[in-house]
Amino acid sequence: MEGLRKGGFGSHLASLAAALLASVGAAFLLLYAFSSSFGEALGLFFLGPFQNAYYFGNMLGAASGLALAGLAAQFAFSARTFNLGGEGQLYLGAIAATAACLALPEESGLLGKAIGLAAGSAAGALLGALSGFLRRRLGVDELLSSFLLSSALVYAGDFLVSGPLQDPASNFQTSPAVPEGLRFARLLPPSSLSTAALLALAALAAAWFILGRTRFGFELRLSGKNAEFARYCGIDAGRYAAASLAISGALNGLAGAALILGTYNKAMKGFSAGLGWTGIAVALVAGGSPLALLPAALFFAYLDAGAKAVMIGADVTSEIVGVIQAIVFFLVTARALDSLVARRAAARAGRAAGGRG
Amino acid sequence: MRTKVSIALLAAFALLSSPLLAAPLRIAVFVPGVRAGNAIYDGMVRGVERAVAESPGSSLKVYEAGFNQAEWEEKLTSLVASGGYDLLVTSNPSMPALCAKVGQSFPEQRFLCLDGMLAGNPRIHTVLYNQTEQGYVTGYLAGLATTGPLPGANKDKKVGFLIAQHYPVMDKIIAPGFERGLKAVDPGIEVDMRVLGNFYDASKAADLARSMIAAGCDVILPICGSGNEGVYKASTAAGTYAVVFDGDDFARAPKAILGCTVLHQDELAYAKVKAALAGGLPYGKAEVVSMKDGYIEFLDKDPAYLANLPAPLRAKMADLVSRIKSGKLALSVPGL
Amino acid sequence: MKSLQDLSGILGAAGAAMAPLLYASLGGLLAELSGLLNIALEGLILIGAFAAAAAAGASRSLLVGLAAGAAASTLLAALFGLATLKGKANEFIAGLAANLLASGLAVLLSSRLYGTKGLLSFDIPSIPRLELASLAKLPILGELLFGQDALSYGSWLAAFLAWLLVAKSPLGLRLRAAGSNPKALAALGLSPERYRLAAILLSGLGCGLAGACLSLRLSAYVPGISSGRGWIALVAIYLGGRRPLGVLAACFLFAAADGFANYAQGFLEAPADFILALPYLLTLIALVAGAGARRLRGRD
Repeated sequence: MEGLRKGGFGSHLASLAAALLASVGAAFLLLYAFSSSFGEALGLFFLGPFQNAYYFGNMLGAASGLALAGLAAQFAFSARTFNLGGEGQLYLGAIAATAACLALPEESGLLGKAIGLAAGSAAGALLGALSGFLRRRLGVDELLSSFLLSSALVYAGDFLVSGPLQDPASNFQTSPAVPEGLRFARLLPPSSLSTAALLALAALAAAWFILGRTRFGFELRLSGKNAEFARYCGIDAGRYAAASLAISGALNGLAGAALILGTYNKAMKGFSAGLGWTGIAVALVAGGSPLALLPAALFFAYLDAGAKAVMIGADVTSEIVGVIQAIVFFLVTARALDSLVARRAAARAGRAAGGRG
Repeated sequence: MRTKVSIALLAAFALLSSPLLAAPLRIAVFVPGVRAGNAIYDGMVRGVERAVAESPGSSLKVYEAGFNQAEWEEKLTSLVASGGYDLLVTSNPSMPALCAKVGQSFPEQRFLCLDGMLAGNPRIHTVLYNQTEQGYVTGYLAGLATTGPLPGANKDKKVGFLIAQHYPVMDKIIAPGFERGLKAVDPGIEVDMRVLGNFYDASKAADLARSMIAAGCDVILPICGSGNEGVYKASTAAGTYAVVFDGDDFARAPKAILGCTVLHQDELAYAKVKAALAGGLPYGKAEVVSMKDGYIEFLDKDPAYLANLPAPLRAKMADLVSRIKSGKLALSVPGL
Repeated sequence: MKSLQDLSGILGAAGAAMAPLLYASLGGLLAELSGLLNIALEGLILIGAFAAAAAAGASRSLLVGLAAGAAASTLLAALFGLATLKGKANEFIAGLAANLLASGLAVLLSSRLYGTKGLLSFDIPSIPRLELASLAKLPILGELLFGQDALSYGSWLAAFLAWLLVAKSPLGLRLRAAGSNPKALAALGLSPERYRLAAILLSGLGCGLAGACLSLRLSAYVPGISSGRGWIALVAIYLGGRRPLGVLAACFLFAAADGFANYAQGFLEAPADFILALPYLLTLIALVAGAGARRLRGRD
């Protein structure tokens, strides 16, 4: 079984490479059709992120946030639950971390950072756990409850940021910045890359260990793969489903907190919009392995960095960039995820059959 | 004697040749949002484009930064770092602080921030519109309409106000100005203020407008970007009215729109960039422009205005505008 | 509630606001039943709205607009369907990609055809309404039942047709089998993939009508006009228990919650953010209450 997964990972990389080549072709055509400075635009799109330390650092900084958000989605997937609440969990996690850090003194240092991260994770975990509870106790589909809860709470986050937490001295809708001493150190200033990237790496490694090497992880995956068999083995599958949602929420909250302490330093209205969705895409491209999240997150960050570089350096508008990204999405995912799709369809069929019975 | 003559000659030469002497500039425009559907940003770009077109050798880069304000700092930094631009033009009350921050890493960069205010930074020149005046004039018009004999007006002294969202300039300047204008007509006028939640959902804006109309509003001021369209459509269908902020929208709903108080952002951007090309932007200074300067204007010549507002009310509007322009009615804008 | 007249107004507005949700949700339901999660509803609505407004504006005909909206969305849905069914692309990412593609394409087309990326206003005939003014004045349900436009009544008809198809026809049985038991279908010599593709195309048709509903009622196209309705429609599929009439109820519930939130802004002193969150919260509460009630009655 382990071998099978490793084989899946290898062919996965191969298809990713093929998709990359195909996306170069697609970008080539589109930039040729819509840009007046074709060569320059093409170069910027693919090489722009490596043009200087600032772009490069921003790309790595963005990738660390994507990796955490991707891990959050993946944790839910590994128990075959669907957490569509990433947007709200990330945002509220970030706001909780900001509020905690604003209440702490500058000197609290490492402990203060830990408290901030814990506050963010706790907020995310609470939201995830609520969906888990509703699924376990009332049979409410977590796909629905997490989406609805998150959509409602994004507005609560907006209210907090532009109301009680609003920085009175700013014309942005934003909280004040957290104390200097509580921020992660920048690794490539002034870019957004910070020691939060190390946190993301640590989280990936921890998840890899927990999911692959511990009894908890084994039972979690088993209960998702085959609830009937898990029950036969004496595993409470429902509890694992609820736990996976809580952990997924906590990871989203952690991602939000890390963005505050590492990149943005203050909670601005809607700052993380879209990251929850992209996290799901990252997780799907990565398949089932936490370690594969790293190249997947880097790839998405690279696409985005290329888009930013080409918009600044050439006369290419954001729409063309959006269309190129869409095509790359299609290509990257096509055929790459055969097995996951099949497994999900099987899980769905099983669930539908169970629901009717 | 000879020196005097030569000085005079030099002066005359300088005077005559100053447009020629104007050194070409590399200019970047940073749009904090998107240009489409935003009269202010669109005006800024058009004004700068015109000035650059008249200056051979000057170049222009327009960059749209999108709606996520948290990304603006990174994008502004990238833009400034990428090009070696002589002047960066932008527009938004929140931009001066951001320009000041980015300017710390790029001491040579000069900034022109329209629609914002920051004094004392030697790299930045800001120009703020007196939006208290703009709000007041629009409120006065809405007040005259809801209390007046217009065919679509009802007995309720109630005016609708649909905003996209709350933000500091809205809450501190525009809304209070609008309310002051209304109360100047009749202190009993009520404002029904509602929030759309974004700048584009015109269908929901139409729903909200219908709900406001059902609640007795006969005039609505929408400040919600493309969402305005929904208010115009709903007001036209119901036979009620809208008053307009920032842009000249008469053609979009000639039956419903009573008046537009516009900002001539294109003219302001043009004049300021012209001054920059001539080497004369007062960096470090924060300027305020108002109706008297011509950059805020109440459009009173459009056929729709003449048709929709009865002559006695038009006379009252003309009187108000002249009182503001002459300084008899002083409406100062609070600092940001 | 200030008066029964207000209530009738809110319900009437909800009936109108429900129509685009319902068209999209019914289409998404067919895809879901056939075994494909269609995340692309949002983008499909957007492209439908654009095509409908552009075609209706050019032809001055509502029918041409409706047809163009339906055709454009169906075309994009076909791309999505081919990517997922033939290319074995992940349905979620392919859906996100279709959404990105739709908003990018709409802007590119808009700037190529009309020279602007912003608002496009068209001269489009207004949508015919039921002229039963006296009945529409009836309390409570008057406006909902008798004060709607043709597109609203069309959405009810669509729900009825979807119910006939899904619950009463052999075709619907096979469509559901493609989702719940594809092997059995294949054993009968029928291709589940063919049913899925048909369902995806129908979801494109539904979203095209939904988009047409939005832009033809406004006689304008605004970038971002779908404004999250595709996601709401997706939720309504599950909230409605994956049944056409349940979807009808769910869409109405959401539209009514939204209508009430719009109305409440006029007198509630609560912060606007909370009122904007209300539709999602009310839907969630309904979902939880429904599940709780089912538990209590011991079904499930």
